Amino acid sequence: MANFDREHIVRYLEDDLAPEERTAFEGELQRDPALAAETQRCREWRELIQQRIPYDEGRAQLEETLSGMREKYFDPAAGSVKGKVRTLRIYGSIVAAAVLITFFVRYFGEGERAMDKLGQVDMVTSTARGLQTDSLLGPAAAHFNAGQFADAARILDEALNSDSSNQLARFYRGVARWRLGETEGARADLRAVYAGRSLLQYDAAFFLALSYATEKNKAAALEWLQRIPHDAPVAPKARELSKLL
Amino acid sequence: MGPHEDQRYLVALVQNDVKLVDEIYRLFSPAIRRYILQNQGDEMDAADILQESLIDIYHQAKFRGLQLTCPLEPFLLLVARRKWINELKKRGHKPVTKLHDDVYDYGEDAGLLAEQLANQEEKARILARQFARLGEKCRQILQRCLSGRRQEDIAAELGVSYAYLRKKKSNCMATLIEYVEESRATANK
Repeated sequence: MANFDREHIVRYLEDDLAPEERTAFEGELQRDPALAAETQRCREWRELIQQRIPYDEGRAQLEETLSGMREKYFDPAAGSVKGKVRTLRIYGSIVAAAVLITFFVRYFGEGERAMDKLGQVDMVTSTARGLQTDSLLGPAAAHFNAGQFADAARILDEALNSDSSNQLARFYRGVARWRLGETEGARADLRAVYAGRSLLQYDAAFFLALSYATEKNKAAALEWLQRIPHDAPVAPKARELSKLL
Repeated sequence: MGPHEDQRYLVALVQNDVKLVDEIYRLFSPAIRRYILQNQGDEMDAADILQESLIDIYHQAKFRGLQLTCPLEPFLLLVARRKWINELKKRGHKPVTKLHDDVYDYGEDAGLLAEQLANQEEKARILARQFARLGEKCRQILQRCLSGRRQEDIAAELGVSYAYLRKKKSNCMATLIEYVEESRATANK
């Protein structure tokens, strides 16, 4: 194969070569079947990268719909570990079943507590992050960190009304809403933060995963966890959640 | 020959048509559940497998213009069965069903479409894993540049020149292609 590296091939596909470079490359493509094959492979990967790497709002909306259908058509208690425990109680020894139930209740209780712990986060104010100060975020952080999520969400509403692009306010409002059980609103905020590519992008993905994990929607939780790079600050928590799933 | 009338279900997935997605679940979830429960899985496994299968079908319909030449049910069942067999292998269980039996059970069209989908989605999974290996800067550049926004704006946001951004984008994409090719070569050894 002629002496063209992958970057050169990609630059050709990106239409980023100078006219004379392009002519030379196309001439070589005609002569060199190995280069033509390599260029075709790169073209296919590039197409997949263009399709799958950007945030896909349509997919996020479909995932939301599928989660709703999942709850409607599948029963977590039927056929699952808990369901099997119930069957044992009916058909097996009462004592043995009681032991099993105690074990599983404890097991799942611990899982839920571990998830709850993973969901604990303090609101860091804009000052601490070195961003522009905002008079509303200080009081919001005070309520948020005291566990007063309704008050925090109300103040963060105000902050977002005056500046809808404030990703910090949107992220913490998403977490506050999730803590308040307002799952739909929480996910809308967290998705917007994820799509916004801010510093909190992967934290938003983590909380989206956690919101699905607590509903025992493993597929959706893993989908979001997979979007978190291994070197993101939130990656250790993501790995912990992944283990719990 | 045009697509099968069940193509409307694929359109429904792409357009997030809640009513038709509900119909997909109502009509086809019992068969998926039955298969998973009969093959070492439980209710939540069935829910996961159906959800993941529909997301894979969404990707193929949206990005590759998948045209159904058979009813949705055999195709969906084949996609789900392939997924479940792979999952069982990952868990260290021996699957009872053999894949080539499915093609005879469900028809060649469904078999061919399911095979194409499985290959494409496997490539997408490799891509996702290898994308995570890139440095933060490369990930940012690729995600932003592929979002459809003006590259001049992105260059300004990142504090780099437009020419640098274009060069770096090609460089990051070439690195990613390198990683995925390496990964596939290792897997094929």
